[in-house]
Amino acid sequence: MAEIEAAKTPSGDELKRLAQQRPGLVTRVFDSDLWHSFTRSPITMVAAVVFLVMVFGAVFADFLAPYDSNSPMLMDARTAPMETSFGGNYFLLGSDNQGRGVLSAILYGLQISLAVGVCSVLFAMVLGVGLGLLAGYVGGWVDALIMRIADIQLSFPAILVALLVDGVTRELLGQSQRQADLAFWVLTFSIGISQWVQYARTVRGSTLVERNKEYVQAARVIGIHPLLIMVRHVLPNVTGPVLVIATIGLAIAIITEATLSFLGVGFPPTRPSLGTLIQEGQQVLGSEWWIVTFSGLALVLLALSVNLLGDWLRDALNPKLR
Amino acid sequence: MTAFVVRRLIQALLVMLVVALIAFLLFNYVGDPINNMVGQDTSAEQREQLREQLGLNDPFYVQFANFVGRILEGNFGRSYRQSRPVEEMIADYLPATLELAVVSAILALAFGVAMGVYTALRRYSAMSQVFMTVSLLGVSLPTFLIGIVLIHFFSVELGWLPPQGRIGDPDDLVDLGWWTTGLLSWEGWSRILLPAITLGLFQMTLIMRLVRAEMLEVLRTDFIKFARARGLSDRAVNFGHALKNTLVPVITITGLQFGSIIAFAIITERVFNWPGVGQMFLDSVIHVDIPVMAAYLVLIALVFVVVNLIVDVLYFVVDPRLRLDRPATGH
Repeated sequence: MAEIEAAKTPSGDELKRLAQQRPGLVTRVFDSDLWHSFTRSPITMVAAVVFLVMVFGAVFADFLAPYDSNSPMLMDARTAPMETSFGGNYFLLGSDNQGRGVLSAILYGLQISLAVGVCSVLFAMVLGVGLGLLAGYVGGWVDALIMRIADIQLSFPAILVALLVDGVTRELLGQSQRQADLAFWVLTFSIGISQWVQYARTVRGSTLVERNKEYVQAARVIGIHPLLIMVRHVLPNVTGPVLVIATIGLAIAIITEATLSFLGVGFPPTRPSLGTLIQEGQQVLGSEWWIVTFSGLALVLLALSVNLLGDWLRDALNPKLR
Repeated sequence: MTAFVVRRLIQALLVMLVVALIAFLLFNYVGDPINNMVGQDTSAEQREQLREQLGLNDPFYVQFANFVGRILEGNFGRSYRQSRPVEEMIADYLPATLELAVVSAILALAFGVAMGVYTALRRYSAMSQVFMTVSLLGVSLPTFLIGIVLIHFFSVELGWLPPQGRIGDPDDLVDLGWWTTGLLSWEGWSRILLPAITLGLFQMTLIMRLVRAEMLEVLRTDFIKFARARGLSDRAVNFGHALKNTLVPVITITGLQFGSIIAFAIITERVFNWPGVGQMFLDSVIHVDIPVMAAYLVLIALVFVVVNLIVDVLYFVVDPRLRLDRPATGH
């Protein structure tokens, strides 16, 4: 009995020692709720591994790609997977009709797809979260204006908005040689614009709730600038849903980029993204099946793994489902 | 109900006005409309004269009012590329898209509801698991990839269905005066099947998941238990009571998705070389044919607004609780 009493009330020294023992970052990550729900879902772990492998391949494409896509050899053209070409080169996933290795092209394509995806999600997030905070915190006609624009845009599918913005931006930039270089930014802009509404709606809703809580009122009373209140106090409370939207948004952005490139309004064929690769491979599907098969597989695996991660994140961050 | 419909009508008009404004801005400020109409050898004087003639020097609101007036008359200007009236082009291409959209919406609805009911009633059967897994995959598959795969298997490998196009030879296309249809021959049906499946697959998974979720919800309620206690047959309970009560959200989503179907038709039409407004729009984006882009935008907005209105009115037909004239209490 005495022992239990002693264990329950640590002495002053004990308390100091415990305070110093605050777990490190690594320990905290592995001890978090998020990590526990992660380890309980095998399919999420598989998705994470697939996603990380693809990100790794994309980031280090320059070192990993077996062949340089910019100087293909015609001797290597139309090699089937796991065969050696006339030029004496071995192609794990085959080559296209110009002698470019499909594996190398996919790695560079992944690089472009992921870069456009991440950049457009960041753009949409900054724009949407900013406008959502503004609408929710300021209210009044600012709120009405922003949310009506959001309503009208939401009644059009994202792919249509992206196509339209893409067409207009390209015209405004002029039909010039620079267009090939600008393709990346045009795509990022059009896909980002087509996605901001979800962020704005969610953040506005949460802001409306947070705005009237006592801690925000207290911050306002002691004279903190509204901008600072929004960023430092309201924003941290809406990160959960924003993170979920961003993950699902990444999958949609990747698919949208591939679709636009497939339709011929994305990247020029000189810089193959996954969409251009599939479009190119589709024309020779009967004889060279490996181009569409492997680049399509890469695209689907990427989108599926991101979607699965998003699903898991949504459930893991939802306190009702715990 | 009248007040409700009138309010919705005003909202719809407002949306149409905003979209018309965007189309107008596109028309007048993206690229120089004069440059797109005349050749290189037109003198500055002639250009100025044409500018005056077209009213491009008028104040902004006069130009906009004229623009809206022209749209209401069905005059969308001339395509820069094809140099013929845009409304003529739309009349040519629209039937193909609407046929495709309607067929795929019906397919999606029929299979989506059936699969949704099945997965809700037999939650743990192997078939349900298969449906649910496939639906997850369907969300991650890009439309164009589905199209390519379907063409490859059913047209190239198996040779069952023709790969592309709306008609085999011009005789298959029956002209009804204001409407041309390919659906009066077997050939036409065999050609619409693959694109319709491609287009409807995503909506089908959506409807299936929705019906399943709603059914599971309704099946737990007391009135279903009471219906069972009254000794009604399973069929009467499941379909007469449970399914009927899941229909309101299904109607909403299907209605709202109809616009998406028309938008996603852009991709499907390109893959299957289907001669619809989607391809027309895509070509206009590639070649920056502003009048066609603007007209398509207005057209799509109109479809959305009309479908939304129909959905709102259908609510009253399906759900008698809404027919009481009382203020909307967030039901």
